[in-house]
Amino acid sequence: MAAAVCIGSGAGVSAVIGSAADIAQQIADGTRSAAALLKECKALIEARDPDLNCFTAKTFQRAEREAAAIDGLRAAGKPLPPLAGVPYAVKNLFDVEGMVTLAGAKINAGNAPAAADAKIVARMSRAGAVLVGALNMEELAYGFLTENHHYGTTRNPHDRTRGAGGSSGGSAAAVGAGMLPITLGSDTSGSIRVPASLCGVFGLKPTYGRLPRSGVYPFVNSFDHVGPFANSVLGLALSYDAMQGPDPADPACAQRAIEPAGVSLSLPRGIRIGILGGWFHEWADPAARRSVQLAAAALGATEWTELKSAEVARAAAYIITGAEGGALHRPRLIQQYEDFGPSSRARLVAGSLIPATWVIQAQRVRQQAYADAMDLFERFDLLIAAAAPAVAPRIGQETLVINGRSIPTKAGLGVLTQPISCIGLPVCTVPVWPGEGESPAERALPVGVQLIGAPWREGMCLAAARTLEQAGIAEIRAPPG
Amino acid sequence: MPQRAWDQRDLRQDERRLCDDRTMTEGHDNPLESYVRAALALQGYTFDDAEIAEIVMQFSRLEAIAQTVMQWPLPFASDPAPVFRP
Repeated sequence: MAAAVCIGSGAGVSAVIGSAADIAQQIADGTRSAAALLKECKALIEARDPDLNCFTAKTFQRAEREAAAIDGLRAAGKPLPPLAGVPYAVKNLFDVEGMVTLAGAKINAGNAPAAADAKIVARMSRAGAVLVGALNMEELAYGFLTENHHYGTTRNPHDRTRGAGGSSGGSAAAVGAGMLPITLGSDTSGSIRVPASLCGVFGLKPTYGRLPRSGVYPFVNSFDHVGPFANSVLGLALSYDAMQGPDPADPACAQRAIEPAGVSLSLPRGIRIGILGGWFHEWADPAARRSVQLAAAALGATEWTELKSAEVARAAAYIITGAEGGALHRPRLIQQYEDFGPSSRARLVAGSLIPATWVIQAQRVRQQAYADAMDLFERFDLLIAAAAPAVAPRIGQETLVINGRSIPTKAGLGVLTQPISCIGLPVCTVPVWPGEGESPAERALPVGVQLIGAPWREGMCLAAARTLEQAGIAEIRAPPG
Repeated sequence: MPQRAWDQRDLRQDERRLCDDRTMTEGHDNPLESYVRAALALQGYTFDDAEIAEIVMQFSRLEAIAQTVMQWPLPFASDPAPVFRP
């Protein structure tokens, strides 16, 4: 497979970048140089990004240096790292040396440039990956849309009248548009899984504390996770493995040794898979339910179960998010209220007024919900549920109607992800194309499926994703030309 | 978590009462608005009435969701989720 290939023919032809594993292999065997691959990648970005608005900054000079270093290693006959020459980009809340870390916010635009890369960006560099830019996001990571008041809306690569989801919208859309094989994002309440679902790409939210967050702009310390998006499961696993490892600089980072997931992506025999009903079924529309049905059938899952505290876990996450996010930004809300986007500033202030009794109760609920989930993992090895309640909403759509019930779009897109990140479980989101909807446009859009593991079992989630990828149920589709 | 004798108390009523203390606030028709105005002053914010109205609306959404949390039955001694690791 070529690193950059054409899919389809005639009208609708789209060039898309290859997978991370293919690119690394081609560079290792000399089929293509890292510099040549980077040139192709830059051409894809320059051609496609103006319509989609994924990038807020490009780091092509750095990328050229990193690509040249990889080509130099190969020319010298030295061993190449696992992601040698693989281009990637990061949500603009990761520190990148020499760049201002925006976190999607005007209030950060005047900050000093980062003195060093975020820990996981440094680890990606060490693994040979080539950084090409920073990506758009919801302001301060607060919301599921990436309709950013300051830096514009990121459009969905499969339907440009629709949103990419958020808050890591640029990260998901850049992969979905075929510009990049890997990007990095963060997930506090669903900000990897929701945009992965809406843009039809793979996404991994590891266990809370697995990947270090040092050098990552914070939002809610209790829930902030970081993780990759990719156009293949192996790409997801390779980048995840490259970023693992303890980091004393992040107090929430578990000081665990690396547990490589990419070495074996096979599901064990006799795996017990539960389909989450209750809350997760009620808040899934027919398209989302169809995605779950397709994934369940391919995995041989037939047993339904319930996470009984899902609704209250979501509510607890909502309260903790409001309180921690509001408290974090309070000083600047007092001084620079007008510089915050109109869709986030009043929410942030309201969050900063939450009484301590609500927060403490929410943290107790969180612990109880975790215990409930552990009970489920006595009976199951993996749980599955939709990653979003519906296909991507139209840009500016204020309300989602799910099975007759209305919910604000900005918060409602996370209704199925928030209960899971509240308790820190690892989740791999896979792109499924249900073919359901009221219009041909809707029937052409994906709804992702969450493959939810017990804590520290990312390998199980990735193996299930690989099974679905091999079965053709989870797939990357080229965007319309 | 093992149940202790004092876990058997139903604290939901206590918590509900705490949560409903807002209804005792005087001075405005909307008790949430009274709380928000007082809390804004305590936290050092200065806003005009239009901005406060928007914040009250956002806070009312939080309050509605908080009801689910506050009414959830928990053992008296249940711990908050830990983060701090000395």
